[in-house]
Amino acid sequence: MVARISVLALVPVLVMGGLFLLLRPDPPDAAPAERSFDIEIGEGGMRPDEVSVREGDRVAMGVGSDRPFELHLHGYDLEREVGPGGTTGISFEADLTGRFPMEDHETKRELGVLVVEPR
Amino acid sequence: MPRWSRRAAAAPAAVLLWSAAVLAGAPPALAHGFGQRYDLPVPLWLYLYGAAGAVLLSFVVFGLFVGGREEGHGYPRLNLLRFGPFRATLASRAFVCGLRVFSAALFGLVILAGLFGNQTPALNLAPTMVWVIWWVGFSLFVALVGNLWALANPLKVVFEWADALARRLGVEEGLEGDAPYPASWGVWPALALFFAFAWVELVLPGSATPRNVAFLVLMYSSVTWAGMSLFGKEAWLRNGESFSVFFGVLARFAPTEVRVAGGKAREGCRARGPEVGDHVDCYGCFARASPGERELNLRPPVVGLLRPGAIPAGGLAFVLFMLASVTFDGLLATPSWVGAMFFLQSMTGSFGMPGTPFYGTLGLVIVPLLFFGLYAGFAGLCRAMGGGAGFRRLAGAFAYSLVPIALAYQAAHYCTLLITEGQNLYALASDPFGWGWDLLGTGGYEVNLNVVGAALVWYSQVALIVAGHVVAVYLAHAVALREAPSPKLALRGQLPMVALMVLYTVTSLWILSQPVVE
Repeated sequence: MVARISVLALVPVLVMGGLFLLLRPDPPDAAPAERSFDIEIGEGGMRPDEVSVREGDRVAMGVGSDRPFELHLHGYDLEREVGPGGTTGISFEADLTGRFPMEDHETKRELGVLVVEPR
Repeated sequence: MPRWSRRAAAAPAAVLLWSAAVLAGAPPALAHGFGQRYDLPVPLWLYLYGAAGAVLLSFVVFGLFVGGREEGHGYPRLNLLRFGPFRATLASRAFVCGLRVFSAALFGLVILAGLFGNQTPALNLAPTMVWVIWWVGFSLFVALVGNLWALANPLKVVFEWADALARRLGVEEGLEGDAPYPASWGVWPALALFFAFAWVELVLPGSATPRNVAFLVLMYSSVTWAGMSLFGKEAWLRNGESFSVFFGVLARFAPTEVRVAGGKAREGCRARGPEVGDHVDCYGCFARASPGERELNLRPPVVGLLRPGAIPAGGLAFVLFMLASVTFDGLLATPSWVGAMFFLQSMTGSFGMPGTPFYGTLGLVIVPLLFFGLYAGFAGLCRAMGGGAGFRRLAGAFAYSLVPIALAYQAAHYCTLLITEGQNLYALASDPFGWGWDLLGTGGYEVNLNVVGAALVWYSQVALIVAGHVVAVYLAHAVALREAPSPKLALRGQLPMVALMVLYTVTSLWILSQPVVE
């Protein structure tokens, strides 16, 4: 009985452990990097509509828009005036992981998201 | 019904009408910055890993308990009140009174803050207290520690005070009504109110606006007080007060219980049914027992979900609705749901854009119905394969075994919200009305979103869900052993339920692996 229970307890531990090591992707070894993005906001929203970086990256976004409004990046709580005729630079260090909407502060309309994956 | 209680029921009805009128006229406000979730979806590999783990461990639970016998309904209990220090604190008048006063004061403060405070949700105590601390945090407390709601329910406390005051003012029969509660109603009133609550939580726009929170609390309170003044306090708490019923189900998971010495129901207890085993967690009997007979027991966690007991009319539907609404909460914010609603809109024409109340209401009706159908199908299979008890009895007994999966999902889904938004309480303690006060010197506190890393959150979420699944499979096994005519049939009879559990668990994991779109 005891033998059966210990086998039954051991097998899943080994299988679950093995499966974990097998499935888990290799951690990226790249060091934090400078990442820059050109973002264009128009009628259909933001292009690209998703900006994806890794934790610790230094992010620099150049944002252009066909109309003037205040852009709000959640989580990092950054607010910048954007508008036609030139780009607005938004730069920060991505030290907070998560999925953060970027929206028009006035209308609360979501334009796109910033995704910060853990390292 | 005494003449007075009819008049007493009129006062709550007036509050209800007034609140409803004001709510209907209130402009919809945006819940900006409140309850917003920034969680990263669980990565695909981890989702698959969790799903594989759930299936594998289901077989392990089988293997461990195959050939086991039913162990009867007994379990070890340790009465905490036997120990001096516990008796001096938990059972003391000062503690119980203090708790009741605190609860009622908080209840009053939430309503006042909601009505008269700053109307930005994050700056007002009412939304954080109701939606984060009470709905999410207190629910988990009840499931993990014990049913504090039964003791501290402010609606009950306020009603008892009003009743005592009325008696002192010369109303001999008090405010409590004595109309016989129709047995056929069962907990259907509680389910109807719980549905309304879920609708407010998940569908109603502006449910985080402080003034709306206050009015909704007032509306619910007036319904409760009206129910108490018609049918009596206990009858309504047991059948109509949805949170007493809801927390009662969650408390079955908890490692504590109340019991009257000997485990027998008191004379005249209306909650007594054809129970097997002891009469526990009956708060009416507990209240009427003499102090020396009261027990506050530690028990193994989860065993309360195995308690057979009589399930009142509507009880099964209540539990299944709880299970389905928890899932719907997450489902509502997945891209697939939003996509399906856009599709529906393009097919049917104009019901407004997806995200409007129409689609949420539709989902809140359809998802639980789908859940009922699936559950009935699988429970029918259990009966076909295992035989034994009648369908209703079997369906009732298995329903509680699914609760750990829902609880694990709820905890996984809301853990980050509790950790981040819960911090608001720190600042709100100094400034409940959002008027810029700084009573305790914590008014300027700002929420730190960076408390736990995403990887830790992922691993905890998947571990929680898999653990909840294992507990559920174990419970299903114990239920099958109890209900089936022989251990061999029990083994066969639980297979469909375990298959349903795998489905439910994998659905929970899948929702966590989807990005949150709101």
